[in-house]
Amino acid sequence: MAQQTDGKQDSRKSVFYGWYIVGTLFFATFVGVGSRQGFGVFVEAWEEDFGASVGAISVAAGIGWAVNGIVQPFFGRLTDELGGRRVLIWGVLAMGLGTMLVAASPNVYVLIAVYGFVVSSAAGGVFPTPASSVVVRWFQRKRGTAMSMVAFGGSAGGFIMVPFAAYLLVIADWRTAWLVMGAAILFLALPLLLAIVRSAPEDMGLNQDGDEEPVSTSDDGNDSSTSIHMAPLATTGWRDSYRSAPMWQLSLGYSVCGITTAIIAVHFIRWASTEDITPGTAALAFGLLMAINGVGLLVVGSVSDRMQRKNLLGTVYLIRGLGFLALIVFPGVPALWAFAVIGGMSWLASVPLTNSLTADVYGLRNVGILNGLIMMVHQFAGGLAVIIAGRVFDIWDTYDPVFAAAAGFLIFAGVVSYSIRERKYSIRFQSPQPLPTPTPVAASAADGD
Amino acid sequence: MWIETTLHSALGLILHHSEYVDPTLVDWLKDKINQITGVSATTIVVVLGVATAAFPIGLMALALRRARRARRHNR
Repeated sequence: MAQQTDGKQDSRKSVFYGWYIVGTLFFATFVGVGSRQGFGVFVEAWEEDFGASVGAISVAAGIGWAVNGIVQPFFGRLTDELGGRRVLIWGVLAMGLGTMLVAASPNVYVLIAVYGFVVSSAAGGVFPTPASSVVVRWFQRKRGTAMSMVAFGGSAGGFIMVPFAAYLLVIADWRTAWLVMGAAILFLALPLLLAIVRSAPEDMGLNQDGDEEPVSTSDDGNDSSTSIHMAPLATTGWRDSYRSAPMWQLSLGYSVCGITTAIIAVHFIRWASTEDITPGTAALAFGLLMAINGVGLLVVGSVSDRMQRKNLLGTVYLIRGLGFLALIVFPGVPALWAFAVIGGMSWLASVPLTNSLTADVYGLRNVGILNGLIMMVHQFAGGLAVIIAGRVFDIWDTYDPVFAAAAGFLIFAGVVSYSIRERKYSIRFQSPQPLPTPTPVAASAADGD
Repeated sequence: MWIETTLHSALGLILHHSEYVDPTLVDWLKDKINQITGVSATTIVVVLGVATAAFPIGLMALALRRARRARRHNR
């Protein structure tokens, strides 16, 4: 349906096609992330069915986390080389089939193999790297807004898909629940991707943001399908990006993001129990955190299109740092609620800001692999931090040193983010030079892909 | 022992990128939904399922309408 007939002339009258892409990627993230988050719902059922310990089942979760981090640069590179459409379609197909395959697991070892390796690696072919790499190609002026909407799919997926999975488990068994979730991915998300998603606006004879004329600085011209506009630090090889400061600044900040969110995600409820807070209250506070996070995410994304993103990114890290300080300074319950409110404002907001900044500074040619590498650092740093935090708690019987270190890291990340020279390196602050109008392609984007 | 604790708590990874929901949070959510709605589990599954399916169907309909308009415009 999305053929060449949806050309530039039509874009003047209707909603920019990029927003259809955003809607589709929102939904792919919604079902993909949502169904993965539902893993925790099934632990008891697996314990009974497989006769396995929670520790053994957790291996699937742990492996899945690591695998998902490792594959991000790989899928990022594929997105740069083949286009996001292909990667997303195959990623969603594999994730849907893998999710259904979980239903057939006869024992915990097959569960570990299918969930830990197949589903988790396939999920890397959807979010965040491939999805964000497509969005940044479609938007430049509204990049932050579009990115935050796609990321919001993850938050919304948690709130809808997880209760959906939990209630499915009540009325049926866990195998049926995984089959239904797999079917939702295959029969709802996949057709939507096939019908709507195109890797870049040039595939449809359109320009970024729906502009009638391209207004970015000149291209490097080597590959018209993927290197659309050239950012100040755009390089031919992705490795060259590490010769400039922003790549290190963004990676450092995002690794701190991984460290601090993973610590809270894993140790929050355990910390609450040490403060004599009931798990239900802790869960309620975390629910509040996630609700505030959804609103904060959309607000930050939108505001970031109107000011320097690095200032918002730095502020997000500093606000999160305040949240960690609140955990140390305030006693039990007040600390819990203070963190829920303060932490909620910054929980996911770093994602659209970091991914958008990477594209702004380094351009679109290698944005997939660069976002994937930054994401991998995020996951590894988070995994390491979880282990170290657990060790510290075992030794000192308190989380205070962990929270103090996290606050320190966040202040550091905030300062590092503020120090990014966005006005110098971001394409948003360069004087635009007109490019030749892109030549409409004869075939549909589907044919091209 | 700490590695066991860590693996165990891997299940607690919640809602940042695609980490796993905490079972305590799920139980709390279920309790709250039951308290507020007071309807059966089947009804909730149907409502959430319809809500989930409505978005892609609606988006697809909009995209189809857009494509049809574009074709008409180009003629």
